[in-house]
Amino acid sequence: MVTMNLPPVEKWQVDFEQDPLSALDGLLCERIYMGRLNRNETSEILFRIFHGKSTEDKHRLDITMREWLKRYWMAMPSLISSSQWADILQNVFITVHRLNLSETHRWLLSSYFPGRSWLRSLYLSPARDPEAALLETFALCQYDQSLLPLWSRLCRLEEDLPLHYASLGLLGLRKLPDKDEKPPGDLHPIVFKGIVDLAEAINLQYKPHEIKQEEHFWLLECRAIMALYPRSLQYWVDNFFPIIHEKPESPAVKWLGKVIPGLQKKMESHTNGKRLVLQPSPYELENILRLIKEKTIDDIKVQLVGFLEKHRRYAYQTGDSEHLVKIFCNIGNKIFEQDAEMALTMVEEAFLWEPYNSYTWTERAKIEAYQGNYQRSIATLWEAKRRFPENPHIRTILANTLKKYGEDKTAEIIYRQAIIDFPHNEFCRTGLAEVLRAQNRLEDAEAVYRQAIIDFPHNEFCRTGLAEVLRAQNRLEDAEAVYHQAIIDFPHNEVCRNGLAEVLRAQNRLEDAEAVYRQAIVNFPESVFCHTGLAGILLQQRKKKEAIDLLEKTIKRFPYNKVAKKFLEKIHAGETLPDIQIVHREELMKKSPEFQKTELLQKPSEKVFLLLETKPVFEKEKQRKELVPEKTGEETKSAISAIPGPPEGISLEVQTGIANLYRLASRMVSKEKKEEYRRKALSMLTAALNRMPDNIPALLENGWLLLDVKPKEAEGFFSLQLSRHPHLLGLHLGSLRFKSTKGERVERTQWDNIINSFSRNTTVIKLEHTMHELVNGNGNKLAVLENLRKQLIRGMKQLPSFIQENEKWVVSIVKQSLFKDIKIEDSLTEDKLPHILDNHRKHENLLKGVVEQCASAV
Amino acid sequence: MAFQKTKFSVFYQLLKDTIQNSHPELHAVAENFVLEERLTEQREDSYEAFITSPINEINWHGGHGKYIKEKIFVSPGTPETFTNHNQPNLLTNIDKDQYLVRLEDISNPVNRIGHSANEMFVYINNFHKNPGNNAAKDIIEKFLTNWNRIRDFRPIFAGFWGEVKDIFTDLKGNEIVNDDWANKLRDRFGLGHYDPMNGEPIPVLLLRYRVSDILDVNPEETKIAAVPTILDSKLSPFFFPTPQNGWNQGQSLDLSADNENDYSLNCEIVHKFIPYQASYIYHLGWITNSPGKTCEKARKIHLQYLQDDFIHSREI
Repeated sequence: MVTMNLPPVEKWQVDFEQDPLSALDGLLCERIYMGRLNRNETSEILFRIFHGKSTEDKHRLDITMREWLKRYWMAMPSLISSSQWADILQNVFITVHRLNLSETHRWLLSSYFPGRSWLRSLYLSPARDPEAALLETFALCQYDQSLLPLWSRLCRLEEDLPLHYASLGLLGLRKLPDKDEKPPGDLHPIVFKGIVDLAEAINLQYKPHEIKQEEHFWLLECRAIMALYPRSLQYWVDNFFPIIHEKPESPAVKWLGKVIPGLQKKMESHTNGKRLVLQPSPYELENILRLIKEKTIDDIKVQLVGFLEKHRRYAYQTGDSEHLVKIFCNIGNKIFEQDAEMALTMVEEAFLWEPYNSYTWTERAKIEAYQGNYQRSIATLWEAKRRFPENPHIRTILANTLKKYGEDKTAEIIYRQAIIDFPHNEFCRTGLAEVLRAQNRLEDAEAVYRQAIIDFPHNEFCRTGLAEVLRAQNRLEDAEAVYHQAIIDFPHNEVCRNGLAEVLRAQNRLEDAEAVYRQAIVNFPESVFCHTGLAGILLQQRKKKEAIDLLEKTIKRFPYNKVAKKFLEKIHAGETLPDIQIVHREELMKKSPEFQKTELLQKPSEKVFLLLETKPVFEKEKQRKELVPEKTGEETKSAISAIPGPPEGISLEVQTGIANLYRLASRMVSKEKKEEYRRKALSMLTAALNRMPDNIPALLENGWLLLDVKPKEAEGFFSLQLSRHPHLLGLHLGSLRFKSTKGERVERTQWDNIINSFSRNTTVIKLEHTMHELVNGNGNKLAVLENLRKQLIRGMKQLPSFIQENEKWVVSIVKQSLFKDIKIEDSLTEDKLPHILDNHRKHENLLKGVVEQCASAV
Repeated sequence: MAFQKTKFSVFYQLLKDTIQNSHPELHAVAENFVLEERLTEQREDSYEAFITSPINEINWHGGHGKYIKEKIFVSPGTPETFTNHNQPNLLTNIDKDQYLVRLEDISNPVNRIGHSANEMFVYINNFHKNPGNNAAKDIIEKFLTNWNRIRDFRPIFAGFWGEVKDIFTDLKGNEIVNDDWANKLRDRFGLGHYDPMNGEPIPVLLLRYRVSDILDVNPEETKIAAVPTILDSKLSPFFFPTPQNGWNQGQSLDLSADNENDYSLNCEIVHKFIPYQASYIYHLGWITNSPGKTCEKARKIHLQYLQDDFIHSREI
C-alpha cells in the first residue's frame, strides 16, 4: 500500500498493521511525527486512534504494548533522556488504564515488585513520576483484593515515597473489589482505617511545622471522599468510631473532628457503634501449635486452614498485618517438613503484607532451601542481606547455607565482615569458628572461640564449640577441662554433659563417661540423648543387655524418637554402628533455641541417614533432582504476583552480593589479597551488568567499586547514571564522594538538597557529609560533627517502624567507632576533635561500608 | 534566523526537501521551521545539540521531542522560553488586569483520579450554581490539586478574552447560550489537535484568569510571558510562526469553517506555569466535531496575511 500520501496518523495505522512493535516503539518514543494529533500526549493519541476500534484491534495493541514493555522493563531505550523516559512510561501506564489493556495490566502486576527500585529511580518530580502513574492504573483497575497490603502501606507512609502517594493508597482502598471480585458497593471498612492511619502517620513522621501543611492535604483527601460518598453523619461516626474510640489521644480524632462535626461529643456518648473487628484469640494459636506438634498436617488441615483464614480476614478488614505475618511465618516454620508448598504459600502471603520485614525473607529462603531450590534460596538471602544490612541473622543464615553447600570460603568472608559490622553479635563469632573448623583450620577456629569466650563469657556455645575444636585436635584433656568448667558455669546445659561424656569415652575412660551420662539422666530426665548416649557407652563396655534394656525403656518413654529405635534395631541385627554422638549433636543443635534462630533446618547428615536408614531415600531424591532441573522463578511463582520472578534476577542478586562482599573485604586484607578480591568483585559486576545494564543494585555496587579501583572512570559513571536514574541516593552520595577523593569541597547546600530528597536517610547522609568535611573541610569539622552528634541522639519515633532497625544499627556503629570514648550526650568541644579524627582514621573503612550498604538497600 | 546559518545547511536542506515532497501535515512543520525568524542564536544553538546525525526526518522528529522534554516541558526548572535565551520574544508590558483564556482537554487528568468527565462536569455545574455546595467544592479542589501536581512547567498557550468573548456574550456584554462554543473556540484558537476523529467527544474546560494571577505565582519574575515560537511546543501543523516586524504577539490559525474572507487572526501568547483554581473555570463543554478547516487550507489563508512580513517567505 502506498503510504507516502497518507496523513501521518493514517500512515502510522498502516505501519502498525504491518509491524506493530516497531510502529508502537516509534510512537511511544516520540520518534514518529503524528501530524494533526502530534501535539497531544501519547496516551491521548493512542486513545483517539484505538478507542473506537474493534476488540481485535485493541487486543493487538494490548499484546504489542506488553511486548514493548518486556523489551524495555528495567532498562531504557538508547538515546532517550531520563525526563523523556519517565514521561514515556507515564503515558504507557495511562494508556493501559484508558484503553483497558488487560494483558499488559496483568504483566505489569507481576513485574511491578521486582522492578520497583528501577521505577523509583526514574522519579524526577510529581509530573515525571512513572511509578505513581502505574499505581494509579493499578488502583483504578483491580481484579481482586491482593493489592490491599500495598494500599495500606501507602496510607501508613511505610513506603519511602512522597506524601501524595497516600492519596493513591486511599484511591486503591476505595476501589478495592469486594470479596466476590466485583466493584465495591460501598466504602470498604479498610478505607476508614486508611484515613486514620494516614493522620497518625503524618503526625508521627513530620516535623511540627510541616504537620500543619500536611494536615491540609489530609483534610482535602477526607473531605473529597466524604463528598463522593454522600452519607449521613451517623454513617461516618459509626465507621470511624470503632477505629478511634480506644485511642482518644490519637491525632486522627482531632482531625476527624474538623470534618465530622460533633464527633468528639458523639464519641463520649456513643454506645451503639459497629463492633470493632476482633483480633483472633491468642489461645487459638496455642491450640493450633499444640495440634501441629501432636498430629500430622493432613489430620488438622481443616482446623489449620480455618485458623489462617481468620487471621487473613482480620488483616483484610483492618489493614493490621502484624499478627498475620508473625503467625504465618511461625506456622510455616513448623510445618514445612510436612507440607513445604503450603508453608511457602503462607510465608509468601506474609511477604506480600510486609516486604520490609526481614523475617518474611528468611523464612522464604529457608523453605526454598528445604525444597532443594538452592539457587532461589541463596538469591533470596543475598538480596535480603543487601536490603537489610542491619540484620545480623541474615548474614549468619546466608553463611550457614553457603557452608552447607561447600562454599566455606565465601561463608568465612561473610562471617568476618559480620563481626566487623556487628561486634557484639555472638553468633557471628561462633559461625566463623565453625566455618574455620569445617575447613579443618582448627587452630584458627580455636583462636576465634577463645576470643569469643572472653567477649561473651555467658555464651554456652563458645564453650562447647571450643571443646569440640580441641577434641578435633585430639587435645582431649584440654577439651575435658573446658567441658568441666562449662558444666559449672552452665549447669542447665545438657550439651556440655554429653560432650564431656564423649571426651571421656574418647580417652577410653568408659566408667567415667558412664557416670557422667547417668548424672545427666538425673539432671535432664527428658533428654533422649542422655539415654541413647549412655546406651552407646554400655555397648562399648560390652554391657549389651543393659544397653538394650535402656533403649527399650527410652523408646517407651519417647515413642516418636527415631534414633533410639534405629539404634536398637541395628543392635539386634548385629550391625556396625555409626558414631551416635554425631547424631546427637546434630539433633541437639537443631532443637536449641539459639540455633533455631539462625540455623536453616537442613537435610540430615550422612551419619544420621546411616542410623535412620533414610540414605536410600535421600540418594533417590538427589538423583531425581539431578534429572529434573530446579524450577525457574516463573514456574514456582505463586498466584500472588509480588514474588520476584525471572531467574536472571535471582542470579543477578547473587553476583551483586558476591561483588559487594569481596569489595568490602578487599579493604581489610593484605595488598595481595586486595587485588584478588577486587578482581573477583569486578568480574562479578561485569557479568551482572552485561546481562542487565540498568540493574540498580549492580549499578550502585559498580559505582562504589569504581571509586575504589578506577576513580578516573567514576566521575563519568556517576554523571551518566544520575542522568538516567536521578532518584538514587547511592548515586548522589557516590558522586559527592568522588569529589571528596579529588579533594574538592562540596557545599552545605548540596548536602541539604540531598537530605530534602531522601529525608529518611538523613543520618547516613550526615555521616557521609561529616566524613567529607573531616577530609576536605577547612574549619567546619566541629560544626558538622556536632550536627551529626545531634542527629544520633534524636529520637527515632518519627521514623516508620520498618526502618528503625537500620537507623539503630547506623547510630550504634557511629557511636562505637567515630564517637568511641566520647560522651555522645554532651556537646562537642575543640579538645575532643583530635581523638575523633583519630577514630575516623581507624574506622574509615567501616563507616564508608555502612554508608554504602545503607544507600544500596533499595 | 530560521536555521539559515551555514552549520545548519544540511538540516535546512532537509526542511526544504520536506516542504517539497511530503504530505501537507509534514510539509507544514518544515515550513514553520523555515519561516520562523524569532529564534535567537542561543536557542538555535541549544536546539542544534538535539538534531543528531544522520539528519533525516526520523532523527529530526525524535530530536525535537527530546529537546522539548528536556528544555521546554521541564519539571522541575524553567523552560528555555522564559530565559534570557529568548529575550527578544519576552512580553513584559502587557496589562496585568486583562483576562487570558485557555482551553484544556481534561480527559487524562479526570481519568487519572478515577472520575469520568461527565461526573466532573456535574460537580462543576453544581458548584457554579451553588458556591455553597461544599461537596462539589471539595471534589473540584481535589481534582485541581491532583492535576496541578502532575502538570509540568511547560509554556501555557493562551488567548485573550477580548478576542473571543463574542462567542459567549452579545455586543452589550450579556451572556448568550452557545452550545457549540467548544467547537468554535477550538477553531478560533487553531487547536486542531483537539479532534475527536468521529469518536468520543473531548471534554474541555475554558479557563479564564488574569495576567496578574500569573504574576502572583511568580512575584519576583518579569519573564512570565512570551511570543510563541516553533521551539516552544511539540511539532504541530496547526502552529504558525509570527514575523518579527510589526507583530507583538503570536497569531493562531483560524480553523473555523467560515469562508476565506471571514478569516480572523487571534492573538496567542505563552506564559509560565500557573496552578489552576476553581475560580478560573469559566465554562465546560465538549468538542464534538473535527476542525472546520484542514490545516492546509487554514495555513494557506494565514500565510496570505503574514507573508509580506516574513523575511523568509520566499523560501517556501
